[in-house]
Amino acid sequence: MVDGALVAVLDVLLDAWDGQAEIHGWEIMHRTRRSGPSVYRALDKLEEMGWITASWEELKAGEQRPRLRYYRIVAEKVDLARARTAGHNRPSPRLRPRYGT
Amino acid sequence: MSGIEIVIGVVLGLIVNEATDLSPWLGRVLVRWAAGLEYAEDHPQRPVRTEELQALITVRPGKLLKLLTGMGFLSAAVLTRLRRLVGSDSDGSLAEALPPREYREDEPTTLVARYLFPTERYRGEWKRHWINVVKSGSIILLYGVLGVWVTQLRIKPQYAGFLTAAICVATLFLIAYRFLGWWFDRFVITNKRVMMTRGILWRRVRMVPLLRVVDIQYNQTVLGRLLSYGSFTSSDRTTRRTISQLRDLPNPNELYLRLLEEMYEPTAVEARLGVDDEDGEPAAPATDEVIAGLEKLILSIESLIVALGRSER
Repeated sequence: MVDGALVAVLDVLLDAWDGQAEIHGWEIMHRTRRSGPSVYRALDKLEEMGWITASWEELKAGEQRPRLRYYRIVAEKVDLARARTAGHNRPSPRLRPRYGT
Repeated sequence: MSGIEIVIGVVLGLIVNEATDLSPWLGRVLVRWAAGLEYAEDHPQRPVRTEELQALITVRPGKLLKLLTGMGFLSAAVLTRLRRLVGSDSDGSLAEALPPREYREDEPTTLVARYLFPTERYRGEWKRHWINVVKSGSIILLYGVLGVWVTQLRIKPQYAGFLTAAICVATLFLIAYRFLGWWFDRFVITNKRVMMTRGILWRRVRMVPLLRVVDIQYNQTVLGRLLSYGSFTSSDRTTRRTISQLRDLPNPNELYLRLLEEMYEPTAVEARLGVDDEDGEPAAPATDEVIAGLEKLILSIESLIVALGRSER
């Protein structure tokens, strides 16, 4: 089974890598259009495999609130991630019916 | 309570919800519980996710949506916890999550290959949409439940137990048979015909040559549009009689286009398949044409203005 959410999350992270940006969980959810739990399951898996790193948001002095966490793909894994996500589950501009549903 | 009162009640509820901070607070509480359920007591991610998900709820726009997101996280966490209790939680290795790319198109499965002749070009095969098995399965289930109910009402008690068991077994068997049937049924497109292979024990292969098809009617219900399935009805070129109706096909838009392409522009299929493996250069002739057209228009307007100016002088 190909994990569509994992591919979608990797896509977004690779995009962010191209733009040299770090993105947080909500942005990933928003851009992948996936549900929170499936995105976080994918993030868990990627973190466990060591493909991504995360850093806490820095709060201003005196600010008291839960911090966001920013994700970034690990430099060494970028090529591997690109190779592995190539061709998976993305709607292509050409006619390409999916195999069953 | 009239309809208007219900609507007013719902709207008022939404307004109160937007005006107070109840939903965001509840959303944060729910994700805290979710993180607690999802990760074990000593898991390093547990405090991390607890804080992070609360922050996520804070940045997520829409108060009611915050609550819904929280509920989503909690229900997923409950399911994970249940799955862990049952003990079927796969650890999810990379190989399982992202197997190397694999082409399933353009190569018929053994189910279909036996019905193709050697010179025929195969264009793809598809299972019916899952709604098909859900529909037939729920009808069988409905009859099963009715049967059990009637048995309990009308049959003498000494036979009722036996009959109930028999009905249950028959229902399960029929549902399983339908499911297998759905699993092995295939809708096939080749360059010569459209084919539908059906059945496990009794095998039926129906086909319509593309040459005979004059029009294809493509129907989609509201549910079909939501879940992406639809049906095709094709008519004969000469008699205009319906020669085949195919229900519950997946991704009907794409299938429809593919079928039409095969009927009217076979060369386009060849061209598309030919360049398929090179990574698509999105040459956009359409936009180029538009830009060229605009340039021409602007040039002609300019020349018109110049000509007018001359004539005034």
